[in-house]
Order: sequence, then C-alpha cells, then structure tokens
Amino acid sequence: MHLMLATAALILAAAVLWPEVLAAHNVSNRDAAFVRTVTGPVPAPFMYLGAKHMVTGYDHLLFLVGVIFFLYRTMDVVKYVSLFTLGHSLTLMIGVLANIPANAYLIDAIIGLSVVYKGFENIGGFERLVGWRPDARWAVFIFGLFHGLGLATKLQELALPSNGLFANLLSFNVGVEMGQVLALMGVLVLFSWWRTRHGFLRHAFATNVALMVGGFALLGYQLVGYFVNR
Amino acid sequence: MTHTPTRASSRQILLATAGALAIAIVVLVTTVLPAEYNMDPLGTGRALGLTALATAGQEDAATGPDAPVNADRPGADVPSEDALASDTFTVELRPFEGVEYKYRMEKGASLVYAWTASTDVGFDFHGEPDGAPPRYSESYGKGTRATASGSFLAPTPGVHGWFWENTGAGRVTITLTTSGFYTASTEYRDGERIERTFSGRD
Repeated sequence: MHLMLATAALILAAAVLWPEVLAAHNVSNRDAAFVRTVTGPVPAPFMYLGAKHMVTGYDHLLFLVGVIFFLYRTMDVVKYVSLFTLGHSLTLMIGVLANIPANAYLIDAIIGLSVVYKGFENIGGFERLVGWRPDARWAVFIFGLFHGLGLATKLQELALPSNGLFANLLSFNVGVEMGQVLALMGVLVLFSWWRTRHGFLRHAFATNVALMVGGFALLGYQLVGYFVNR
Repeated sequence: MTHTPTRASSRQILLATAGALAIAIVVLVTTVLPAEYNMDPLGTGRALGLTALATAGQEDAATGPDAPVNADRPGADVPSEDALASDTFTVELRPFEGVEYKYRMEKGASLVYAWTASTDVGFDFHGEPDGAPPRYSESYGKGTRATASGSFLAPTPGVHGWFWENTGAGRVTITLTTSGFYTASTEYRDGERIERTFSGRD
C-alpha cells in the first residue's frame, strides 16, 4: 500500500517536472536572454538560476542519489556532500573566470560516467568483480570537479558580461549549493523512510542498476552529441 | 565508513551491469537519438513520431513567427520586434594588433553596414551562434581590404560582427557604421571586453 502511494507520488512528481526535465541542463532561452542584458552584479537572479539548474539538473541529482544511497549517518552525508561541493565550486569559478575551454558534451559524458560509477559501486561491483574499490571520497571530489566544469561550460555559452562577473558567479554558485541542499533534503526524507521498509536491500540493488541505466544513457547521449556536433 | 553494498554475487553484478548497458543502448537507439539528433537507425523514431522533435526547430524557422524570410519572396519583408539601432565604431590599431566588434542579433534580424580603414587590413566577418561550443564561429567572408559594405541577415541567433587585424607596420584607423536590429555590441581588445547596449524601446 505504502509502495503504491509512493509510486503514485513519484509518477505525479515526474509528470509535473517533465517539461522542466526536457528543458533541463541548458539554461533556458528566456534565462539566457536575461543574462545577456545584465550589466553589473545582480545576486538574487543568479542565485535563483544556480538553484534552478541544480534542482532541475537530473544528472547532478542522479549522482547525489547514488552518493548518499548507503550513507546512514548525517555526518557522512555532510562530509561527502561537502567534498562534492568543494570540487564543483572550484572548477565552476575557475572555469568561468579563466575561460577554460572545455567541450560541454565530453564533460557531460563524464558526468554520465560518474552516475554509472556510483551505481556500480553501490551494487558492490568493485569489490566483487574488480577486487579493488577506488576511495569513495576522492571519487566524489574528482567527479565534483567535472560537475563544476559542466556548470562552467553552460555559463560560458551564455557569454556572461564581464561587468560584475565575479559577484554574479559567486551568486550562481551559492544558488547551486542552496538548490543542492533543497534537493538533498527531499531525497534524504525519502531514503530515511525507505530504509525502514522491508526489502530495502533488494530494492536497493534494482534501484542502483536503474541508476546505471540512466548513467549509461546520459553517457551515450552526450558522446553521440559530441561526434555529431563536432 | 558506513558503506553497505548489496550482497549480490559476482554473476548477478555482471549480469546487472551488462543489462543496464543493454537497456541504455536500446533506449538511446530507439528513442533518444531519433528525438534529439534525428538519427534513426531502426526507424523507431519515425514510427513513434519522435524525429519530429529533432526537426521541430527547423520547421519553426520556415513557418513559425520567427520566420527569417517571407517564404514567397525570400528577404522581402522581415518584421522585427527590436528597435532600430544605429552605431558608429572607430578604432585605431597599432601594428599587428587586432580587434573584434560584434552585435547581438536574433535569427533573421538584419543590419546594413559600411566600414573603411586608412589602409588595407585583414578582416573576418563572422558569427558565433548561441549554444555553440566555445571558440566556434561561422565565417561570412574574410580577406584583406580597406573598405567593405553591404547588408546582413543573421542566419542564427548569436553575436555577429568583424575581426580586423592590422597586418602592416603603421597605425590604422577603422570606422564602422551600421544600422539594424541589434540589442548590444561587444568589443574584444587586448583580452578585454567592452559592452554596449542599444535600446530604443522599454
């Protein structure tokens, strides 16, 4: 019964969010038009754009779901999310300020790969099949760097006006963190309920395999995009 | 660390991983690629009507409100929502110095231009479509001249304009005059960007 309710809620949420999901990822056209007209620092709109990008950026969310899947203690969640935040903040700021030319398709492909990695780790793939597991903290930090570079490429496409760039970038970054906290809270509530259920481990296996499907699909989608639009 | 992976066997993990990859490939080939890139190897995109998503933008361009040209008489009338702007840009280039000056224009927006230089300069008239990878540009014409003029219809939304380079040993002055439907201009020089906005409305 609970499962049915949860499924219904998920389907409803998916239906509501679907247009956003379709438009996700690239900062939407209307937002882009706004960004172009900006001269000088405007913190609130950029914070909102950062938060919106995170909440509707399914690739970031899939990765975070994978990361906190088996983190039971709040301190661990804080620790890992902080590492992720440190990683993507670094490259987001440096990437835009130094105008590092990164190919958005390849970066997004790596982000897809990060989702596959996390799902594979969660089903015990590294222990069982490889016999060696990468240090999860380093992995989260390094993939965080790529996620940040992904955000940076999206902002570079917008040709942000140099006037007030640093303040706006900082605002965008703060917004990203706020959006991340918001999204995480929802996911954590869901998990704390789900973990008390029977058969969590069995469903966990299936869910992480589904995560891998999503990661592989993102990976392929971006790689094909890279070769088509080269 | 409180990491508790599921207790699955190697075989299960291998099968699950291969399965995940297989499902992803099926989803990609049957739906995502047709819908996103108009690549339809199995014909499923056409059967499901998904390729329409990939080509939607192109159809809009021909028939939608953003139509760049009158379909019957191409270029005969191109209505614009933006205010008409006029601009004069003068720059002096030291030997081997370059400058770039571009206008922000929507697809189908037009401008008329004329530029003169005090001696021959290298030029590249080009545009950077919105959403293109960094450093990507489309050239509309390049060469070495002391003057050029014409009219221009933006093929894509983005920034469009000129790169000039002083290839000689003396100083060169370049003057550009334009009128058209652009909302902003950017000058790139010595690693700096100088922005200007044009608004006759709002």
